[in-house]
Amino acid sequence: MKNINITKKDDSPQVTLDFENGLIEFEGECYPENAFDFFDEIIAWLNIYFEDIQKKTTINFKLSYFNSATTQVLFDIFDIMDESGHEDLSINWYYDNDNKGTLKDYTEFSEEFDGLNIQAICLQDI
Amino acid sequence: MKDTKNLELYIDVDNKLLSELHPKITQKNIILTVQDIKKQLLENNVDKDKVFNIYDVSIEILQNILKYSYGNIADENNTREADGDFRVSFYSTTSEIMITSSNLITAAQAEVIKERIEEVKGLNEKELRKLIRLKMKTKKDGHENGAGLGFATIASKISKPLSVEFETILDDVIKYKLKIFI
Repeated sequence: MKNINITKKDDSPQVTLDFENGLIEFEGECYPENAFDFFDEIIAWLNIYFEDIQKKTTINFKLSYFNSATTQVLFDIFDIMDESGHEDLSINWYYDNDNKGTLKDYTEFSEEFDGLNIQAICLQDI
Repeated sequence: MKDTKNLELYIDVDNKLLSELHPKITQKNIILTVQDIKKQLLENNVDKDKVFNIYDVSIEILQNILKYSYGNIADENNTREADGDFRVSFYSTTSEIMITSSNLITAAQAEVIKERIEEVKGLNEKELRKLIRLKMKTKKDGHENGAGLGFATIASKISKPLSVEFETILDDVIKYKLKIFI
C-alpha cells in the first residue's frame, strides 16, 4: 500500500498516511474551497487501510481550525475507524488552551465515538 | 453606481477603517482576508476566543458567498469567483463585533436559507451542537452542500439572534443580507 504525504498550505493541513509505520496524521488548518475533493484520496486510502490492516496504528489530529465541510469529513473518518472494529488504535486529539474551540471539538468527537477512546492532548503540555 | 462586480471587504475599529480590499472573492482572497482580520483584531487586543470565533464565522460566510453567489460557475478545476460585500466592525467600548455581508442568490437558495434559519432559531449552544451532531449522523441535506452545517456553526458562535433580509432584484434574483454580532 502506497504512503501518502500532502504538504501543508494556508487552508489545508499536512497529511501523513504512512502504511509501514501505522501512522495517520493531520496537522494545520483545514478549510479548502472543496473539502470533499481534498479528502477524496484520503478517504479512499483510509477505507482500504482499515478494511484489512490490523497492526497498531496511531492517528493524530492536530487541527487548529477546520470549517463545517471538514467537520463532516472528519465525522466520516471517525466512522471508518469505528466501523473497522480495529482494536489497536491510538487516537490523539491535540488541543490548544488558547483556542477553546479545539477542546470543544474534542468533546464532540470523543462523546460521539466513545468506543474509540480518543485521547485529548494539550499542546501547551508537550 | 457602486461596482457590484467586486467583493468589498472592510475591517473597521470604532468606525475607523483599518483594512479595505476590493477583489473578486476567491479562495485565495478569503485566506488573505481572514488572516488580516485575525491579525488586526489581535493587535486591537480583542479577546482571543472572540477572535477565533470571528475567524471561524468569517470563513463560513465568505465560503458560502463563494459557493452560492448568483451566476458564479465553477471552472474546470472546480474553483470559483464571486461578488458580494463583507464587513467586520469592532466597537471597543462594548467589545462587540458586528459582521455584515450581502450577495446575490437565486430565489430557490433564499428558500433554503430561510429553512436553515428556522432550524437554528431560538436554539442555545448545546441544542445547536446537538443539531450539528444529528446532521452529521443522518447526512441530512447531503454531502455536496456541507449538510447545512455552516448556519448551525455560525449560530453557535453569535451573541444575538442573526438578522437576515431578502430583497427581490429580479424574478429569480434576490439580494441576501446577513448581520450578526459576536
